[in-house]
Amino acid sequence: MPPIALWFAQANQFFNAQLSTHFRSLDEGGILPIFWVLGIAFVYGVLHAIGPGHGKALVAGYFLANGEKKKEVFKIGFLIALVHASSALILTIVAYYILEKTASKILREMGGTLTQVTGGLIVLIGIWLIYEIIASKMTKPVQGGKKVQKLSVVLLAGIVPCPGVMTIAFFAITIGHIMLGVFAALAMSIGMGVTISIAGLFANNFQQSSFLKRHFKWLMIVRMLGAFIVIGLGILLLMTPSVTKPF
Amino acid sequence: MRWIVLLVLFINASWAHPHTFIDVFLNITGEKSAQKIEIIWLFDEMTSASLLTDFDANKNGQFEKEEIADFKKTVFDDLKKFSYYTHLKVAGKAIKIEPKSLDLSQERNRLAITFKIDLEPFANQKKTIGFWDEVLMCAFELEKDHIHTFLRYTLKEVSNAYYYGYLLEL
Repeated sequence: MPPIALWFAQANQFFNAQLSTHFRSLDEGGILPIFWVLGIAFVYGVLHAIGPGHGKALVAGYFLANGEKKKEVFKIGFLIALVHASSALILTIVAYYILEKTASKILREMGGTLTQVTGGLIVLIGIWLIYEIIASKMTKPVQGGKKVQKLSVVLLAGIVPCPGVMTIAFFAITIGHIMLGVFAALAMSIGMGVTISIAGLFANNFQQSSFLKRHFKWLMIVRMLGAFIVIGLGILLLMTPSVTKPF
Repeated sequence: MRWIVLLVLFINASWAHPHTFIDVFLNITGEKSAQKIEIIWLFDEMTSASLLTDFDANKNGQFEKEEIADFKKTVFDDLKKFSYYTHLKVAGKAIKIEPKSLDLSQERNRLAITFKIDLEPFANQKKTIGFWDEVLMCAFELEKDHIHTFLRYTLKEVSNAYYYGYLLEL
């Protein structure tokens, strides 16, 4: 077996530990640690989003069903990352300062339900995609879905808060560097946006390939496949056991 | 074609991503055969920050009975479905473990939890204990330096496509 899992986990661990070390060295003064924290947060974001979740499968499925312009793919990828990170950031801050709880406690209590609700809605999006594909069968392949649909994809892919961002934001609060915590979360979300967009781009390039442009039947099959990936993902989330975050 | 391969590779949830990093320490007692194993999990600083805030309710840097009970109820008992990330096999057969004497402590900025497993019922049988999380939400690290025992043992790294961990043979 390839030691990819090991390598990947160690890389995550390395950046995680680096991040806490550099956060702590902020108190020694100087501007350098700030850049270190932001830089590491960005790379950590790229790596972090390679793992499952973070909306990649949903994005890929969606772009298989509905091809888009490249610019639009990046827009959606980065928006998802932004929603994913800011929902975590907002939850952490609201939980700590208003509810006087930790965000991880709230996610332990509610994360399962939230995931299931999201899963149900994702299934509905998939059904909507299928309906559109069937409805458009007799016409030329369309490029680009409706705005509402894209917005729903962004929200559903990102709304379950990113536990990675939560951990960092909370850590920043406990050591008294909340502002930098916010910027680190943003840097991390830009990193995640890169990864999510690349996933979307793979799917989109395939959907827009010249082969599929020439073979209409295959294009329909690929679009249907995309819609089924979306539905499958929704069902998977619906059935996920409640533990999304053991600690 | 190459797009399909890349696509599948990329979105097919190939690697989980750990959020929690745990250093494992083991104290194994017994002279001829292992009697008891004490397992200590030392959490990474970031995870510790929120766990310490959540469970050291009175913020005195120590864990009283009620605080430990709260941790057990809200976090630890839920780990049963992951067999507490501690996979015991006796003579090749998987055994469900029942951790005892759960304890929590703070080591500098990190949280440590300790629990014990009784191995006496399995005296003189070949035992293996695996330390890993199959969904890799947590990454475990176990070094030889962290194992304290007079017994003979072997420690192997286990690396699968989806997760990795360590296998201790006693």
